[in-house]
Amino acid sequence: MNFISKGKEDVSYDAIVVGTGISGGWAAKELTEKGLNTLVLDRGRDVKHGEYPTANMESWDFPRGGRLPYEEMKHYEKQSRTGYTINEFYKHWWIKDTDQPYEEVKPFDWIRGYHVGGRSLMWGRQSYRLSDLDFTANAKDGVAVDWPIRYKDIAPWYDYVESHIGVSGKNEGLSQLPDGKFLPPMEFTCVEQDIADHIKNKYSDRIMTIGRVANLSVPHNGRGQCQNRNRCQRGCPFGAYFSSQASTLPDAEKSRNMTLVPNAIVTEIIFDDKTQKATGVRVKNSETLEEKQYFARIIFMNASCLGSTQILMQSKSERFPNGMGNDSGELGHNIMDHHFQLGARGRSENYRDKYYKGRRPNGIYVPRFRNLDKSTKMKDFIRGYGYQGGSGRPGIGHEVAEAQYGAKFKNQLAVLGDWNFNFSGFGEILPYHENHVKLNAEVKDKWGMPTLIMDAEIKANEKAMREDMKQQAAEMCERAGLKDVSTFENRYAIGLGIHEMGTARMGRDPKTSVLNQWNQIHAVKNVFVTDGACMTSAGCQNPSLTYMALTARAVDYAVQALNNNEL
Amino acid sequence: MNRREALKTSSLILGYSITAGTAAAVLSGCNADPSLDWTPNNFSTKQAFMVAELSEMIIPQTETPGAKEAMVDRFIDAIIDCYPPAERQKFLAQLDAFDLRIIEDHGKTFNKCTLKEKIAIMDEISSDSASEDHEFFMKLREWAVVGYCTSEAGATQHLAWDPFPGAPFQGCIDFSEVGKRWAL
Repeated sequence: MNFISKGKEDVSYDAIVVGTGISGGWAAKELTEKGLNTLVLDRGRDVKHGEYPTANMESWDFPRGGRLPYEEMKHYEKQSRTGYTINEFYKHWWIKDTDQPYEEVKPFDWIRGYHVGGRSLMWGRQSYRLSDLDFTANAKDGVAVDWPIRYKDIAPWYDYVESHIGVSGKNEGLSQLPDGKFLPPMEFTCVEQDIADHIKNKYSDRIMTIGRVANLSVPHNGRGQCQNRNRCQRGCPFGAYFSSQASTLPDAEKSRNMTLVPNAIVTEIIFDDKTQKATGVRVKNSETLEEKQYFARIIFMNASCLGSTQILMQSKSERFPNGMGNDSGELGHNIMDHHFQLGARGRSENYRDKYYKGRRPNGIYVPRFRNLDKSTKMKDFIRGYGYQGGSGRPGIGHEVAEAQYGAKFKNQLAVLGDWNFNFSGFGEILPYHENHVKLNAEVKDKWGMPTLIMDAEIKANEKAMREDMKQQAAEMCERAGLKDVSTFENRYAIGLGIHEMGTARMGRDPKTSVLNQWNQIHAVKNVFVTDGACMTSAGCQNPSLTYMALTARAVDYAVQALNNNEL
Repeated sequence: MNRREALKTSSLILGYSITAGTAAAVLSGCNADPSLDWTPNNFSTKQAFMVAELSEMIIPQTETPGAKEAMVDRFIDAIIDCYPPAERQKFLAQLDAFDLRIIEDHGKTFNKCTLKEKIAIMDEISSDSASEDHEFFMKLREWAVVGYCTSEAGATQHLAWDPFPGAPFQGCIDFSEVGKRWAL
C-alpha cells in the first residue's frame, strides 16, 4: 500500500481542457495531436462511442411509445420546453431540472446535457459558415463591439474542420454563406425541388438549397455512411454524424496524450497573482464530492457558453473580484441565441404518385437575403435570418376520413395525404448588454454549487424581423404554388434554440470584451475560451461549426505561443 | 378499485342515478370476468377487457393485425400515465360511465353485446358529437391509433416499415414502390 501523497507533478499537465462537447472535443484532439500532455475534464459521466442504449430500440420497446409518465416529466420542466428533447429515446442525455435549477427573471430556456461528449451527441448538425457580412456587422451597425477577426482569419480553419468532420452540402457561391469542403449533398424531395425551382424563377435575391449537415453522405475518415434512420440524437452506432465520441475524442485517445477524467465538476480556475496566469483548476468529483486540484500551463474552457461563464464568475481572486477576466464587466452579459419557432406552411397538390425512401436527417435551407447590401436593406430591422424546413407526407388524417372506425378507418391509416411543406425561420439576435446571467449564491444545485439567474429577452429589432420572417415565408409558399398557406408562430424564449452565445465575448479592447482575437482572456493569457461564450455577434447561422474552427485556430496559436515561451 | 367502489365513484362523479337492475348487472359482472394475461397499471380487469374490445372495433383484424394483437389495450393503460391525475381519473370515470350506460340500455356489458349492437353503439358515439360518450370515444380512438401505429404489429405489418433505409436518401421515387404510408 502506498500512503505517500501525490506530488504536484502527478496532477500537472501541459494543458487542461474543461468540457468534451463540440468545442472541447476539438481542443482535446488538437492539443494532444500537437504533442501536449492533456487532461480532459467533463462534469458528467463517461460515454464511449457505441454506448447509446436506445440506438436500436423501437417505439414498441417502451410502454408508452417513448413518452414519459407525468410524474417523471416533473423533473424536466425546462428541459422539455423544446417539445423534442425529453422522451425515453433521449432523456438520459439531458439533465434533470430538479438537480440543477436556475431562476428566470424573464422566460429563459437552458437545455443542457452533461456527460462526456455533451451536446455534440444531440446537436442538430446543421453546419454553416459565418461570413464577413457577420464579422463586420457590429462595426458597420455601431452595435456592441467589433469582432477582432475577419473571415480570412477563420476560413482556413473552416476548411480544416469541415474536411475532418464531414459535412454534406452544396456550394452555392454566395458571399453571405461561404462555400465549404462538402461531401455530396443530400437529395431534395420532388416537392422541395419544385419549390426550389419556383424560388429560383420568381426571386432574384434568394435561393433554396439543401441543408449543410454534419452527416456522412459517403464514408469518411474511417466513419460509416449515414443510413438515413434519422435517429441521430440517440447516438449513432455507425458514427455517421459528427460527435466528440465518434471523431475528436478517439483521435485524442489515439495520440496517447489524453487523460480523460469524467465526473469532474470544475469549480474554479486557480489564479497566481505573481505570474498573472492561471495555474490550474479546482475540481469536485460529482460522485464522491471529493475535491482536487490539477495544474497545467494552458487551460481551454469548453464547458458550454454558460458553463464556462459560470466557472469564470466563480473564479474570484484579489485581482478579479468580479470573476476571472471580468475587467470589462461584460462577463455574463450580451447573451444571444437564434430566435425561431415561426414561419409558414402549405400543401402541395402535385407529386401524389411520388414518395421517398429513407428518413433524411436534414432539411432545406434558404440563406439570408435581408440587409446584404443597399438593395436589400430593410427599414425596420438590421441583420437577417435564414429558413430551415422541408417537406413531409403524412397520412390523410381522420378528420377527412370517410369512416370513423372499423376496417375502412383502419385502412385509411396507411393511406397518404398530400405533401406538405414548411419554412421555419432562424433569426439573428443582437448582443444587448442588459441581456445577462448572474450567479445566485442563495440557491445551490445538487452538488452544492451556485446556480444562475437569467435575465434576457428579444427586443424591437428581433420582433420586427419576426414579422418579416412570417410574411416572407408565406409569400414564398404562395409563389411556389402551395395551397392552404398559413403562417405559424409558437412560444419562443431566449435559449430555446440551444445556441447560447456571447457571455465572454471576443473583442479588440480589454475594456469592452473578455477575450482577444485568439480567444485568450485579455488579462490571463493562458486561459482560452472557445465555446459559444466567445461569440461577438450571433449571425443567423447555426453556430457549432464556428466554435470548432475557432477552437482549432486557438489551439494552433496557443501551442506556437507555448513553444515560443510566450505563455 | 373494486367494482362496488367503481360504481359508487362513477355515479358520484357523473351524477348518474342507477337503477337497481343496472347495479345488479354491474355487480354480477364481477364474477363473470375472465382473467387477463397482463397486469394493468390503471385499468380494472373489466375496464381492460372493455378497452380491448372498443379498440378492436376501431382497428379490427383484417388481412393485417388488429388492435388486440397489437396490444393497444396495454398501450392505452400505460399512456394514461402521461396525463395529470385529474385527467387520468376523468378518462377512467368516462369509461365506467360508458359501461353503465350500455348496461342500462342493453342489459349487458359492451363486450357481451352482439356485433350488430356494438356497431349501433359505435356509430352513435363516433359520429354523434352530442353523444355523452363522444369525447370519451375521440380520446380512446386517438390513443388507439397512436398505440397501433407505434406497435410492432401495426408498424411492421399494416404500415411500411424500413428500420435501415441505407444510403442514399431517395427523395422522389414512385409511390408504387412502397405502396403504403411509412410507419415513421
